[in-house]
Amino acid sequence: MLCEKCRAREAVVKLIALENGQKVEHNFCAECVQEMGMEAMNIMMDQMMDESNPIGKLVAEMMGTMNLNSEQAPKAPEELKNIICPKCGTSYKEFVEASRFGCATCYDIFGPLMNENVKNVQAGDRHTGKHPAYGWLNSDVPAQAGGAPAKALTPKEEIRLLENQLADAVAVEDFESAAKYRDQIRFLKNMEAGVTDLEFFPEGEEAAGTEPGTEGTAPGAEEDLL
Amino acid sequence: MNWYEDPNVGNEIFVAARIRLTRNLRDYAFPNKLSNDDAEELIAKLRDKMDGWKTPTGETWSFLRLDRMSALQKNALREHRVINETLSQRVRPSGLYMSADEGVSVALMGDDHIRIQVLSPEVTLDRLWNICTKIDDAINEHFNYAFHDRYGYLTAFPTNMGTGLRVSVILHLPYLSASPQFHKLVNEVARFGVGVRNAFGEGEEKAGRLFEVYNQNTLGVSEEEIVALVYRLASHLAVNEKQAREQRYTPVMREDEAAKAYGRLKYARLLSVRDAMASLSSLRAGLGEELITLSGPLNVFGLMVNCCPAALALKTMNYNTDNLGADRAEFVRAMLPELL
Ligand SMILES: [Zn+2]
Ligand SMILES: [Zn+2]
Repeated sequence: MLCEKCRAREAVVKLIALENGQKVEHNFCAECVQEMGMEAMNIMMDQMMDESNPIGKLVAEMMGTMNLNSEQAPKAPEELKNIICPKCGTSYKEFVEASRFGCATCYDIFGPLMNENVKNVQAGDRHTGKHPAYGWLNSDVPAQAGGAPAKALTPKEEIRLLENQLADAVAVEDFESAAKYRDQIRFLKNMEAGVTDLEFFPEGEEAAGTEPGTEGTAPGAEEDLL
Repeated sequence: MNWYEDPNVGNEIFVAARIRLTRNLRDYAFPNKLSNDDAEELIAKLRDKMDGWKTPTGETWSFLRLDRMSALQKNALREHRVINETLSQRVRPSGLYMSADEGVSVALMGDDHIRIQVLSPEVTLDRLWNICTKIDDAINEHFNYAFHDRYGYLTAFPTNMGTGLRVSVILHLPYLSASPQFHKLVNEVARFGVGVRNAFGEGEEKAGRLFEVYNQNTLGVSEEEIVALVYRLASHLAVNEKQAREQRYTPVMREDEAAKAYGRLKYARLLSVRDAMASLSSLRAGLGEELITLSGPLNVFGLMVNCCPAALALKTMNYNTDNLGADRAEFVRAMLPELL
């Protein structure tokens, strides 16, 4: 292939740039690249690196190619344009133009629209790295059969989960549940601290919740956690 | 003394490393969509836990309100690579935890809620990743992160989603970057998902011929894979730098280049950023190869950082921008040991 600049020498360098949301391929010879200097090269690299100006219009590309894939595009473009994130108010147009999510909910709203195209700009379409130790259970982590979380919880994680549920219960004035969560948290904290006897729990509650064969365990603690 | 000023650090091809981790909290919109009141509330909540912490390296850190700092201070922090462009221009509620040597920092309310960063003159990426992940875990013990089973850690930009991790190694490539193979090599490296860019941006600073080698992908690769990949390709470029200088120039030519650069730095009365960077780069190459010897240790990279405009003004406490060229020449002259 001939260099597209001088049209005289053999092209040896291939540059892929994002222009107007399209991947555009450029082919240059070594001399012309040298002539253009690092400038051209670095401006392209820069667009990919600068957090304030990510990969040109990355999202536009993700969305742009999506429409070609008719069976994976359940909605007409006109309808897409009306989508707005209910939590932060980011509109479809805003999302595509700024290549930017406004909140965690945006991922649920706009994420499915990106579909397989994520793979074009990332190494894969699924996270394979670190998971947070706490607080990720409330997102859409797939549950295993039987409703158990996909990952076994450490006592600390259980405490965090219960604290969240406690806060949620208090917020909606569900004090009955709140009391239950509070007791479970106490139980787990005691267990963590190595306190094994259960005199900590109010006598009446313990008696009421204790069924034959389950003596010595906290009332319903483990069942409720799963 | 800042992390980049340690005089006992050599002037090798590997200059420094940076690891940055982006996180957002689950229950708040990302900073761009966050009201000032909510941003203040979130900063207060984070400070309530984080103010008394020490870094995993045992250092204390202090908290700064970025939105109440002068533009000069913020620009200097950007030149020192502590904060990015967005943070340097923030006028809305935003903050920064920073160790005394600026090596460990956590910025609040930039593009994302939390930006953990470690900078070091030692390119020991495993160790730096360890520091980042420990800070990450400590924050997570108190706050729920925005996390998605498929997209991983959720970030404002899709270019960070997944691990939220950017690993970069700064390399000094004076000979390779001038060689005709460089662009081809950069393209080769890009095929592995690793980018190469000027470490100090597209201004006059690029005359320093310092390049940042970084991972482009954050989703579909694990943190350990990213760390290993960036190191491997940075090493590949370092080997090519050695080959480039030996193939194209004799030792005497390289020594001559470094000695002339020393002369320019020693006797110049006006130094632009471009002049300073170009000469410091040549001097650094000669020192790294031990082709020339100075009477004392000199961290040339530190000098390069301090030659950037805002950093220099703060360093010399001289804010008259008309005199920067003369100030820079004087500052560099004062730092240079004798040429033996
Ligand atoms: Zn050509
Ligand atoms: Zn949203």
